[in-house]
Amino acid sequence: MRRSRGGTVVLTAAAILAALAVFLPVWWVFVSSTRPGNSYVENMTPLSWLAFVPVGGDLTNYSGLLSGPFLTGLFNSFLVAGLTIALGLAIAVPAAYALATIDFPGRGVVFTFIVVVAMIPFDAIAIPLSSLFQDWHLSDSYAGLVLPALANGFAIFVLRQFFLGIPAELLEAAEVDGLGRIATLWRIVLPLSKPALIGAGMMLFLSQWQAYLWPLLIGTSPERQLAPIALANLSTLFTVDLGQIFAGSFVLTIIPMVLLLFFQKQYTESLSTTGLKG
Amino acid sequence: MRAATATRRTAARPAGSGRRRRRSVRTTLVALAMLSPALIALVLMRVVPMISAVSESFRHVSLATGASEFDGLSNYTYLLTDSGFHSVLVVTLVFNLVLNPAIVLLSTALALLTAQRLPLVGLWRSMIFVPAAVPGAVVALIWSTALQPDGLVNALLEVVGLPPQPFLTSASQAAFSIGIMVTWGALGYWMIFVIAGLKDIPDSLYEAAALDGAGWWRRLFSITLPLLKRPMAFVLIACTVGSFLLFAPVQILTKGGPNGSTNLIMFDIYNRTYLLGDVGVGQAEVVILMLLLAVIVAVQFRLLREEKA
Amino acid sequence: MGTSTTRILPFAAAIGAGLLLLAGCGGSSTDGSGGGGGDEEITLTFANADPAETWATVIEGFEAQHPNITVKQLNIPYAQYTSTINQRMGSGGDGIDLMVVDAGGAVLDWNNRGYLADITDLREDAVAAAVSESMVTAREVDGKLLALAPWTTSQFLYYNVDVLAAAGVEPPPGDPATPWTYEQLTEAARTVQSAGAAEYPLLFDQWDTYYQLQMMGVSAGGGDGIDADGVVDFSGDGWQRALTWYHGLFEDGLSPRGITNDKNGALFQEGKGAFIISGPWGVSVANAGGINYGVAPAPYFEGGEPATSTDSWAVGISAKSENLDAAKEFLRYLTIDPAGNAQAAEVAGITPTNKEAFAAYVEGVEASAGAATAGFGAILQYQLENNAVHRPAVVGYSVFEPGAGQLFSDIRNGSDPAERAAQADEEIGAQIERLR
Repeated sequence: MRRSRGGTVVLTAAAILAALAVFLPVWWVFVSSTRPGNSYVENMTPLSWLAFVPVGGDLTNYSGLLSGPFLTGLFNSFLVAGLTIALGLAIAVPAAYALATIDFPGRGVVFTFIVVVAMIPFDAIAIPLSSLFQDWHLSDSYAGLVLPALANGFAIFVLRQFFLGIPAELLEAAEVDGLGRIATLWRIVLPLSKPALIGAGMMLFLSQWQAYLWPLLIGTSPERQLAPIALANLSTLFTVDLGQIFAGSFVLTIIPMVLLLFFQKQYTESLSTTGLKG
Repeated sequence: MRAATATRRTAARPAGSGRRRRRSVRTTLVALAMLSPALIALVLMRVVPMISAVSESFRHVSLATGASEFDGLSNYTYLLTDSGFHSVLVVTLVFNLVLNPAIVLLSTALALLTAQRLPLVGLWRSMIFVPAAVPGAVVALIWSTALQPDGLVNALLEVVGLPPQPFLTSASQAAFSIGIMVTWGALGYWMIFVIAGLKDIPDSLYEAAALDGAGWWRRLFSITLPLLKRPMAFVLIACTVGSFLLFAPVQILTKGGPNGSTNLIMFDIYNRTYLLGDVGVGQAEVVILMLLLAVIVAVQFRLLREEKA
Repeated sequence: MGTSTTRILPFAAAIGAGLLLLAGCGGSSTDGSGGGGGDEEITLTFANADPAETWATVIEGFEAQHPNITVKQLNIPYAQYTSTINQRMGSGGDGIDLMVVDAGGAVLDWNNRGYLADITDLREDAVAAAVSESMVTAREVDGKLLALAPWTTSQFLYYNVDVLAAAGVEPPPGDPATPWTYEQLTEAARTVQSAGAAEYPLLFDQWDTYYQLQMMGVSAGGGDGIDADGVVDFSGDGWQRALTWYHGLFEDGLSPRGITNDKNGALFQEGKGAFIISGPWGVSVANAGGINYGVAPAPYFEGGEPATSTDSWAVGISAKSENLDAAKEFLRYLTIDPAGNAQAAEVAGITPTNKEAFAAYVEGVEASAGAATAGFGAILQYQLENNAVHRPAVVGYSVFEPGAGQLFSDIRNGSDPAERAAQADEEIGAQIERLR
């Protein structure tokens, strides 16, 4: 599509403005994280431009943070989130594919069931579930951290929505070529589904990246502690050092942003640009 | 749409009815095999604990003795006649009625904007996405600081010549303030799903429309939005569920106040279950919330489907 | 409620010097013959609502003395603590041997439910070892002792010397027997305000919590706000006087609305406040900011009684524990043994309850800030012995406390004290009645 140069300028300006407006509070977190201890409040009441410009700041909060248990937490969070994405997709993709492409009796019931179950508020059932995990000897283990996040009905939902959009002719052609259902899924469908896989993967990732209540409930020992808990423990170590909390928050926040930047290319490819559709 | 094609595909196959039945049995088995890991996970991780929660909703626990006894529907009748619970429902429904459409519209607008080919657009998109990853406690820290009476937002209001606002400390503005906070955290997240849908619209449609001389607005309303219906439907439904289950900001910032104006249903459930120790009523409220959500989501499904037809 | 506890928790600051010393000496001088049975291996499960580090030091010390006993922690998040204990103990005890018990009604609730073992046989030693008798007896129900507190708290009026000097305000006296009245404090805050000497003339460490405000209601003659029968009364003259005063602070801009509790310490620390009413942990908070400050006793209402909030977690033994003797041994180490008690409070940086550990703690605090904290120990001891108000152990306390918090919060945001109090009396009362 062609667009006038003026249009591009206006749209770019709008995108930058939106990005800056949304990003401003996160930027404030970063600038505050360069102020040692609680000295960030110096710039807050009354509000000074120094709250948004890291002049005179330093990175002591980061060095303090990364020499403590936060680093272990970061490693564990990566491990748990990675396992959750891999296993979660391994569970959700076949389910979504079956729901989208196989016409079997009870399909509507199964789909409704999945949607309804996805609405169960996890916080409300976390306590009974944690006693079940105790009986199943899953407390204080990586399995115990990963398992509840694998039951993600919305990931199935979002993948199914996408698979529904894949042209039937494509699947039929694959079948004519003698590809089995699994092979079709693996070799034809998945390579086309990057945006949906990234979307579903992101849901699974963020559900673990911010996990807080559950890891506390199943009692993780220090060597299996996740980053948000390590961060929260900084704040129960009295709120005296908000600077380190800001630093930890900024680290936790910026990592998904970097990942998203990294996945941009795959993400912006789609059925239409790969030339298989339309 | 898909269901129709699938039927067409099966029906088109010239095969004896016996073979077809065998085939349909086999197909069903394959489908079940593909679904079973997900179904097992959902049942064990969600349904089983939910059942134990529901059974609690029929029991009354005495605060004095801890004795728990079967109490029939009395937790439900108590809730349905309690004026406090009525106001919780009203607050929750009004909050969602305003919030969810706003989030869907804004995230669609941002998706349309950042799906354009613009300089460095990936960076702008990532920046908009960032709040989705901010830890909950920090979201509260950011916004309680920004919205405090002498905070950032009032400083900005002052710059443009507006009087300072009480925000979270006023019964008439607290819910609105929490809504802003939630929107900020949610926009980028849902935007990603809309972009995924946008990327799925074939360029050829736009090219054809351009040849017909259709302007930007025409293309938006005749091509983009109709074809975005499916991702937008997903966003609306998932976002509704998410907003109904909203809890952390309320707990951290307002504890339901001032004067109950932000007492959203999940916070009320938390309050009754964990703070007041009224487990039975808390779980009855969970059941009511589930039923309410099921109805709302079913209505949304129905509306979106009819529009498509 | 443990709001005090969670907030106070492990700000393991510079306080510990004296404590460490005592813990070290005590540990080596006590021989390991304390008991806990013979040679069989015992594992004790200790449920608490703190990060594991908080109790790790004292557990190590105990295990070193009792090689056959292992103490395993069950760290439950504070917000879910009570309901989790209710669920686990209600369904058979789940192997829990010891658990922390919150101040207020928890000891009564759990006694009624049969969760807590009678430990009256430790009473005599506990009273002899404790800084004040009331910190032991506050955990008694029907003459039975059910828990012992390793930690305690009190409230102080901290002030910024430079801010007061700039405003021309004479600092409050440090003599614990003659604290300022709230009226004097209000006047001083007003002077600071009109002089523009600080953004926030008067801060509280924990806005809107019962722990923070109970002492004001009591001092004004309003009692605890709830009686033994669960009747709630915030509408009487005493509480109305306290609540009207609280309401006025925000109406007049002497105290800020919309500031959350995690920031008050930081604001005072950075010189943004003239006064802050806070606990003993306020010393290390203030020290961390390098301001010039002083410590005075908590105020009282003119014509009323001096009163100061107190208490924190206590530790009780499960009535279903199969290791009663070993559990008692651990509890004894946590509270009655000076070295053990010092270790128990060390990581949290909180005030220990044992006389000897207390003396070492006070020494450490006073040494940490020179003249600023010279009177700290005298004030703390005087208040604990003479006017500490314990949160009431009454049925329905668990409902009362969050209800009171909402009442205070609404009044802070501008609700009329009389109207809102009447509403709270009725609502909280009805809720308690329902759960009876």
